Amino acid sequence: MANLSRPRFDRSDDRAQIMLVAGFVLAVTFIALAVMLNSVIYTENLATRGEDAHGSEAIAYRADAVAGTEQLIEHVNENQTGESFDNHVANLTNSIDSMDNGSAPILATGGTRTRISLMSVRRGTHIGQFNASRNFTDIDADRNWVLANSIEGTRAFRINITDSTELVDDDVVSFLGGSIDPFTVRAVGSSDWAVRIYEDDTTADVIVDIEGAGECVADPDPEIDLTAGTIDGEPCGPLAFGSGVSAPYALNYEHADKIQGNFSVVVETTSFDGGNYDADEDTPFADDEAIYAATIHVLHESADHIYATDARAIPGENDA
Amino acid sequence: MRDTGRFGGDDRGVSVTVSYILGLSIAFLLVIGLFITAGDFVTDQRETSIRTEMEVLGDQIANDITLADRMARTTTDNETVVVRRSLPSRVSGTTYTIAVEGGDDPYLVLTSRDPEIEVRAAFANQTDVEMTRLSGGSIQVNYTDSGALEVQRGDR
Repeated sequence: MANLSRPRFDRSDDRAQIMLVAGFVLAVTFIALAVMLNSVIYTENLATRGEDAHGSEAIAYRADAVAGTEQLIEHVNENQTGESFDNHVANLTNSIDSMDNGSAPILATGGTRTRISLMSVRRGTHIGQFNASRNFTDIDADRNWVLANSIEGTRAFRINITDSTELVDDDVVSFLGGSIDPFTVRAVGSSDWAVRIYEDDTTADVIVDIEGAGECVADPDPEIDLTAGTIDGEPCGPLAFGSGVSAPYALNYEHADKIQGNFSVVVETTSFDGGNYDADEDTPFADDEAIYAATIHVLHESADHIYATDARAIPGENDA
Repeated sequence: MRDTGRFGGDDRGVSVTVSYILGLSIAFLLVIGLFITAGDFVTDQRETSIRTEMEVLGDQIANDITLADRMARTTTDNETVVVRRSLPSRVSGTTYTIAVEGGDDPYLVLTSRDPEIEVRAAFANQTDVEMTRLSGGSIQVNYTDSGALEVQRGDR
């Protein structure tokens, strides 16, 4: 051990070894604290980095891909009538590839790899009538008729009333004490679901009456989206198409002479009576080469996540 | 202070040994006091920093599980969900473990090895989460074939 002091004859006071040790201890302490402080700063820096794995972007990308595919399905069905189902599918495949080729390079610049591919397509029938001044009877003017049978799903069911004065007034509606049955859309499956449309004779408003569920009142000449549950774009709470009816079911019009306008619906079936329809779109027509729905596969991948899934694109899908 | 009177420079009557022992004792007491105080202080700070770091890491892993849960819930068929995160393998110089515990109501438990400090982090989930335990470092949250989320060792 080092001497702590010189011999008593020399008290020139360099007894600083102890203080030196103490100073060394303090130095080591400060270094240790500095290292730890650095570690804490690093961690808290991590905490405030907001380093989300971009999962929300992946979910949004999936939703965008589905929405885009739905638009493409609508486009293929509406703008390429007369073509075969196979051609529709080929067109849809090409369109989805174009959509993918358009979006993938943009996202790649941000370090994200994406892919949208068509997996499968479900066939359906597009039924409609585009003559705004005709009632909804079939081509033989039958007012009670079946649009389609064995339906697995219904989407984009829109009725545009062009002259609501043709509707039955509520003071003579049969189930309100009168004697005339109003126009009714009915889904018939394991149970029935129906919506009746008539007019308020005092205000000339249109009443959309969902059997057993309630009613909504709209201005004259409304556009009713039965599967979206909206009237003139406004939500109608009781209007939930096919609620309580399990597939397969049939879709009927009743008293179709008590309404005027046009309508369009896509059903997942090819079972219908062709005698009810004509190729002329000013009368009821049925195009069973239509695409009802598609399943796509979506991939969204970056350094911090992989997200891949199949997704169904069903434009205007309902819960029936 | 040394006497500078008429006997200045003369320290007779004061034992060298006593003087030496007194000086040494006082110095030792001071140094030992410094050792103890500084040691406790460093230990406390280290534990605090370990706890703080593991709380941050726990929150980040919980965030990843929640994110993977949200992603998994939007999948249907042919699904793959992986959320990766690069984490330090040591916190303030000690290793740690990451565990999912709690059964039906799972939560994260991060435990440092030396000193042993346990930190819990809660997360919200609707998808089941597998009970797992792994050593600290990069992790990934996988959506497994059994339809549950699992915290696994990261591949980077």
